[in-house]
This record gives sequence, C-alpha cells and structure tokens, in this order.
Amino acid sequence: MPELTNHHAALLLLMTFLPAVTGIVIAAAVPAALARTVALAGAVLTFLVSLTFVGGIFGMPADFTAAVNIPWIERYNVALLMGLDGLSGSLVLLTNVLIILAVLGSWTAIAARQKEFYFYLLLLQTGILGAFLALDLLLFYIFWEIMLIPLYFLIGIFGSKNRIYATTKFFLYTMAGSLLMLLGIIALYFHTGSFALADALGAAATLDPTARLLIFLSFVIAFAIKVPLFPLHTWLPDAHTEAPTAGSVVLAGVLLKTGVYGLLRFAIPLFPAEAARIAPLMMLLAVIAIIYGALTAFAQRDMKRLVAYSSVSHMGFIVLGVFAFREAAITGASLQMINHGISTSGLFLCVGYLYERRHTRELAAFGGLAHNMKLYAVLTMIMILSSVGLPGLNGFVGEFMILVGAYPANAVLTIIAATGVILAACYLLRLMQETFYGPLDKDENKVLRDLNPRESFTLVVLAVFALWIGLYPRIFTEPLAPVSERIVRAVEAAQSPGTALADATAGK
Amino acid sequence: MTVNELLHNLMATLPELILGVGICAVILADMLTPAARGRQVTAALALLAVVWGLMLTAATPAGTGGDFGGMLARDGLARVFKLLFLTGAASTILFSLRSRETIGYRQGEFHALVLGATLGACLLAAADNIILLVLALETLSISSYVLAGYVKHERRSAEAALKYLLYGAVASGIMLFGFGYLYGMTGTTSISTAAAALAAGPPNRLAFTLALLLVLVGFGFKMAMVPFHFWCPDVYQGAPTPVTAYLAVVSKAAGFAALMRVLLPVFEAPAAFATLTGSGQLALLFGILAAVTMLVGNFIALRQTDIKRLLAYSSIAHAGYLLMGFTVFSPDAAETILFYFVIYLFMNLGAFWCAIVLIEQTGSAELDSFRGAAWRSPFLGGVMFIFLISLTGLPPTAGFVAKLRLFEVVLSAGMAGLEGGAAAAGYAYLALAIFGVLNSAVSLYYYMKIMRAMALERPASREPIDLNAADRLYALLFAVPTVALLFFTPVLRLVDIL
Repeated sequence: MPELTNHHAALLLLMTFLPAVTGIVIAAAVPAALARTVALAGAVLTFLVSLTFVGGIFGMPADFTAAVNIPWIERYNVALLMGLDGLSGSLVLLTNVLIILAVLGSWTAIAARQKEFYFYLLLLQTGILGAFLALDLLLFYIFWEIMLIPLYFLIGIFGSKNRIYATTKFFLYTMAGSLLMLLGIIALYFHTGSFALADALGAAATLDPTARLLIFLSFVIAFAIKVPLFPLHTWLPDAHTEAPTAGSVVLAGVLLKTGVYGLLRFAIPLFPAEAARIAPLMMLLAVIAIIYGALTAFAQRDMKRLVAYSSVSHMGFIVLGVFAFREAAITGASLQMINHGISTSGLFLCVGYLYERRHTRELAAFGGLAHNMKLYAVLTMIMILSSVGLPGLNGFVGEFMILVGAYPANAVLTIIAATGVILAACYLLRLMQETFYGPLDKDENKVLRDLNPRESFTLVVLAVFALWIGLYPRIFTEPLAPVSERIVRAVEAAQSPGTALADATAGK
Repeated sequence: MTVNELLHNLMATLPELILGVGICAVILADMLTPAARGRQVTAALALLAVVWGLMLTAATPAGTGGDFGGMLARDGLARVFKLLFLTGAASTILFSLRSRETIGYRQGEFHALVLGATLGACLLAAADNIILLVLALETLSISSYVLAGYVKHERRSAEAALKYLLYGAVASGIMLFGFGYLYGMTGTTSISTAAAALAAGPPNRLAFTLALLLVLVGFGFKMAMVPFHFWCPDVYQGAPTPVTAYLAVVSKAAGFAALMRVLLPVFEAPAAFATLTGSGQLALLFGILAAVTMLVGNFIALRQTDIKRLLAYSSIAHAGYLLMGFTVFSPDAAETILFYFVIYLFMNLGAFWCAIVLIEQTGSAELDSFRGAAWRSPFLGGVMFIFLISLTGLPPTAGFVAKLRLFEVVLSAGMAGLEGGAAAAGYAYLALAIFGVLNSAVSLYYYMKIMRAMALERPASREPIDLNAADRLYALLFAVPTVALLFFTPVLRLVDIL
C-alpha cells in the first residue's frame, strides 16, 4: 500500500498526475468553451506545486533514493520509484513553464475540438514529468511511451496539411527505438533482479561485456532517435513543420530533452565504460549534426522548418557536451537543454503567432514587419539572439561552457563545432532580416496587428529567463553541477580498470 | 467402472454436458419459436448454457489425474483454456445479436454450431488421449467450417467455407499420420503415458521428429501458423464478423491448447526429454516458425485495407509472438503463453467488437469507410484505440504486460545462455527477442492505420454513430480488463498452473 512518508512525496505524485487528471476532467465533464480555461488553471496549479521543490533541488543528495516508493507489479519487483535532483528538477520546472505558455499560445489558434486538444496536451505533460521523475527503469519506459501517444494525436489531428505523414513517421521512428530500449531494460533486469535504477547501477558493472555493450546500445539508439542525433533526425523537421504551435513548443522545448536526459540519467551512469568507448563516435555524429543542421536550416524557405533544423544543430551541441565527459561540458549541456527549451520554444511561438495572422510560413511572404509589428519584432529578435548565442543572453553561456569543456576532449571536433555558432548567426539573422527588415511592400502584411497582451506575455516570460540565465547563470548551473560531476567521476573510474570495481563497491 | 465413479466423472464434465444439452435445447427452441423471435430465444438459451458452463468451470479448482480412465485431464491447463473458450463463445453469441450479417437464417443453427464448436474446443483442452484429441479437434473444425459459410447467399462466405474445409481436411489427415507414428512408437493412445514412455526409452530421433512435424501441421493450421496460414485471411474476410472473432480467439487458442497438451510433459520437466528435444533443435524449430510467422503476418498486414483481413494477419502475427514461448521449455514459459492468451482474448474480442459496430454503421469493412469515425463517436474511437495500443503491446495497457512477459521468457533464456557458456543459443534467443520487438514496431504501423482513418482523417459525414447503452457496456467489458489487467496482474495467478 502507498507509503507516503512525507508530504514531499505526496506533492511529487500530485504534480505528476495533476495534468492527466485535469485532462480527463476536461475530456469528460467540461464544456468545450471552458476547456482552455480549465487547462490553464491545471497547468498553473501544476507549476505552483512544482515550485515547492525549488528549495530541494539545490540541496538534494540525489543518490537515487526515491522520494516516492510504492510497490506496483510485485511479480517483477516494479515500483513507482520517483524522485528528483538538480537535473530532473530543472527540466521539470522548464516543462511546467512551457506547458503554461503552450496553453496560452494555443488560446485562439485552436478553435475546433478544444477538449481533445487540451486533454492530449495535459496527458503529454504527465508523460514528460513522469519520465523525468522515474527512478525505475520500467516505470521510465512506461512514461516514455505515454509521451508518444498524445503527441501522435496532437500532430495528427491538429497539425497542418501533411500532418498524417509526419505523425506516422514520428511515431514509428520513436517506437522502434523505444522497443529496443525495452529489450535492454528487460535484459538488465535478469542480471539485477530489479528494475530500480539504484540496484542496476551497482549490478551493471558485473555483466558479461558483450551483453553490456548490447544493452548500452539499445539505450543509446532509443535516446539518439529522440534527441535526435544525425542520422536519425529525419522525423524531426517533418514533425515540427506539421505540428500545431503548442506541439512544436513542447516537442522542441522538452520532449527532445528526454533523450539527453535518458543518456545522462540512465545510459551513461549504468555503462560508463561503454559510453567512454563510443564517445568519439558520438562526438563526431554530434558535430556532423551541428554543421549539417545549420547548413540545411540555411536552405529552408519555410520559417518553421528553418527553426526545426536549427534544433538539429543545437541539439548537436548538447550531445557534444555530454560525450566530452568533462564537468564544464556536461553542466553546459544540461544548461543548454534549458536554454534551447527557452529560445526554440520562443521561436516556435513567434512563428505560430505570425502564422495565425497570415496563414503562411513562407519567408518570401514577409518583409518589413518591424514597421508595423514593433513589439513582435523586438521579442522575436531577443529569441533569435538568444538562439544565436549572443553574449549576455542564455545561449552564449551554455555553448561557451560546452565548447570550453569539449576542447580538451577533442580539439579538432570542438573547433569545427564552433563554426556552427557562426552558421547559426547566418541562418537566424537571415530569418530576422527577411521577416522584419526591408520595405513593407506587401498589402497583406500592412494590416497585420501587433501582439496582444496574452501573446506578449508568453514571449516576455521567455525573454526574462533568457536574460536571467545570460547575466547570472550560477543560480541555474549550481543544481546541475553535482550531477555532471558524478557522471564524470563514474566515467573516469570506469576508464581506469583497477579502480572501477573498488569505486562501484564504494558507491554502493 | 463403478456407478459412483461414473457419476463422479459425469459431474466433473458437467460444463461439457451442459453445452451438449444446450445444443439440443437450442435446436428444439428454434423449431418451436416463431422465426421472428428465434434469434433472441436461441441466443438466450445458448448464452445460458455457456455462462452456466463458465461459472461451473470457474468454481471448480484444477485438480490432478483425469476422468473417464484418464482421457480427460482435470489440470490447470484445461481449466484456463476452457475459461477462455467459454468467454469467447459467450462474446460470439452477443456479437451475433449486434451484427446484421447473420440475420435472415434460422438463428438456432448458428448458436447450436457455436455451442458445438465450443464443446469440441473444451474437450480438446482436456484431452489426454490421441483419439479423443482428434475427435474433439474435428468437432471444433467441422462446426467452424459451417459457421464460416453461414451466410449462404454471400459468395465470399461460401468460398471461405470451402477453402477452410479443404485446407482443414488435408491438415487433419497429415496430423493423423503423425499420431499414427506416435502410437507406433509407444503403443498407447494416452498422451501422458506416451510421454513417459518416450522419456524413459527415447526412440529413433528421426521418427520422433517426423511425427512431431506431422502433428504440428494439424495444430499449425488451427493456430494459423505460417506456412499453414493461407486459409486465414480469406476465411476471416469471408465469414460473418462474429464468426471471424470466434476463429481468431477460440479456434486459434484451441490449436495452441492442443499443442501445449502434447508438449506439456516437456514444459513440466524439460530435463527428462533432453535427448528427444535435442540440444536446442526443437527450440530452434519453434524459433524459426515464430520468426517466420510474425514476419509474414506483420508485413502482409501492412498492406491490408479491409479491417477483417487486417485483423486476420494481425492474428497470424500474434501466433508468431506466442510461438516464441515454445522456444523455452520451462513451466514459466507455459504460464506465459496462457497469460498472453488471457489478455489476447480481451483485446482481440474488443477490437472485433468495434469492427462489428463500424461495419454495421458504414456497411463496409474497408478502412476508408471508417474515416472520421472517432469524430462521429469519440467513445468508439477511444475504446478502439485502447484495443489497438494493447494489440501493439504498448503501455499503459495489458498487452504491454503480456508482451513483456513473453520477451522476458525469451530474454532470460538468452541471458542464461550467454552467462552459462552456451553462447550460440544465447545469441539465438537474443536475436529472436530483438526480431520480435522489431516486429511489434512494424505492427504499430498497421494498427495505427486503423486509428489514423478513424481519428486523423476528416469524416465523410458528420452524422453521429449511435451506440446504445448495451453497445457501450460490451465495449467496456473488454476495454476495462484491457487496461486494468496492467495494474492488477496478481489477479492472473489463474495461469500459474505448473
């Protein structure tokens, strides 16, 4: 039976399932006209609950001792093991903020079938929160799959013209990876006798080397598809282009982060030696993603596709930082996850607002908007500059830490990756130039009205965070640093054979 | 046999006797009631017999030994399969009331045939004797042939029945040859005695393998195992949909029940049969059959546009997943197969129920005609989605636990091989598990095709689909276990038979 030892655990459960419950209430009992209001209330309430953890995030010992521990499928020793540390806590907060903005961003954009829309959106939130909080591998897998289904419908029902193709592709790609991961999880279970991460950590080191590599690869492939890492990224541009704004916001903002989070929380701590072995390959793929994503973004005529490819490029930086296995790089990558969540979600909101007014996303259709949409131009510019990595804004801090951390690990790749920053400036400034500058020569554009208070609010929130992280990152990196430090220590211990076993036993 | 013993035996087989009496009652009632009301009256009688039998079976715990001189086993295997068959039969009878495909004929025949087939299936699950097993299988088969061709004016239905009959007759004949060899090797018709004899003095391996392969043809036909599956899509498409549901669940489960009955001694004590099963050869055979069956079922299903054909290929694929359980001869594997069937029953019947409602509403089984059905009835869309997700094996549904257990069995054999020095076998098991998982990913595509048509495509008409309270209740009867069994798996201690 549930043992809620303290109210922290109760709040954790409440936060995870509150969105889903709100969603079910919306679907079952709320009239369509009120759906968005109830959804907003649910999202805000979830956010408020998550604020109660902020104090804890900074000081949590995070040895994978779960705050919530409720036995579930006894036959397999599966339990609802949930807890949060600096890494997952930061991502949880990011999720809860972005869902509020996603609801606000869809306020008028979604006119038909609102009940279903908010039901799926809130169900998605529960899936994401659960995946960030789960400390039991099977539970993680279950939440991981729960994330998929609502997004399938969000894109498939509410997306634009080519939505069915995009959502099917997204679903199949992600499923293939996650089923492989399931096999890995089960195989690990035979060795450990438990799905709990804390148990698996000690036991994984004693596995047969071949089995260990296979299990590790099953995790890495699943997470690499989600990130998405070149060459497994092709689902992302389609999914983003077709998704409704809220779908893109959540997809870019947090869903992609679950892949990196999976690497940092599960794959690498469980198999540090294997992670170190494939690190050069992963760094290479990451750099290819950075350059390839940037060049492809430069060639796009569709604003949303441009932002989507910029995501491929930016996620490459994050993977580069992770597999550099230096403390600064991993902390930078973790921070960059939050940064990317802020700037890319912001950009998708910007594109969405413009699409709502003009019903096109072709770059060629715009120009000179700075003349009549001043507020919009300013806020979009902040988002673009944050994404470019302008010093003083959030993107700079993250990318700088990654590059500084990765340089000692692989100088050549890091130098190549650094050119990605320049390329980002090229394609993003081109987006700005073609949209806002030049003459306001198209009649349709002359009548476009500027952002209303609701729309401005969503972007101002993100801009405030962008500035805050850019000017005073310490408060954000502090909770992340201990997690990266532990990962780096584990990888270093695994690479020096004599100490690996001693360290594993000492860690137990 | 004393009178007491006889009475005792009769009491133990009461569920089967009730079914037999039910057949007579249904036929009589069909003649005595006016045609207009025959449908309801015979359905009620048939349902009464099935539910009564179901309750009696559920109330009787599994025992040891057997009735009628050991011909009918009383063990857990028989009990679980009987529960499955009777539930499936009850659902088929309810389905036939909803479907208009079976109207227009004397309904009594239909229900009597369902009872007859179910009687055969129940006897089959318990049969510990070759002759009884063959008789039971034929009772099931012959009733099924007639059921498949029940709609006489429909050419497709008649064609289905004829195909089914021809394939079935050939398969049965080959199977009988196999049993002949078994009898020749052991000199007994009792399966458990024969098994003991084979374990004690292993005969010629070649003869044994040949016998097993021949028997497998007959069972494989019922199970819709590749390469004996060719009848399956045509028959599923041509038969009235309630019959299709029956074939997909009860008839398929009966094939597996027969196979498990024959192999039960091996599952119980694999070590005793080590010389006969070879060092993994039998497991290899089933592994290959499993892989091929999944592959064919899933890949051909991708291109189907008719929901009945699609579900037919899906059921072939599920036979493939189930066959994975036969690569590991352990009590746990046997229980896992049963467990999978319990969940397969709910999710598959549920999917067929939705299909029947959709076919009734749109008058066509083409996926195209289901476009936007979830807009016209969100309830129907929602429950169908649950069944399809479960058939794919995704959480949060019971299909996930079922597949999880199945993969667990195969992977544990693989890991044991890797860590115990049998690397080749270990890799083979791992490969099979990975293959099964990739197949599940493929299956997602065609299950989602149904969902895509129902939920993502815009509807042709906005007219709501009318579901009455009974419709919703039936749907929930399947949907609730499909979800809830994920959370209450201890309920399924039912399958812990060994």
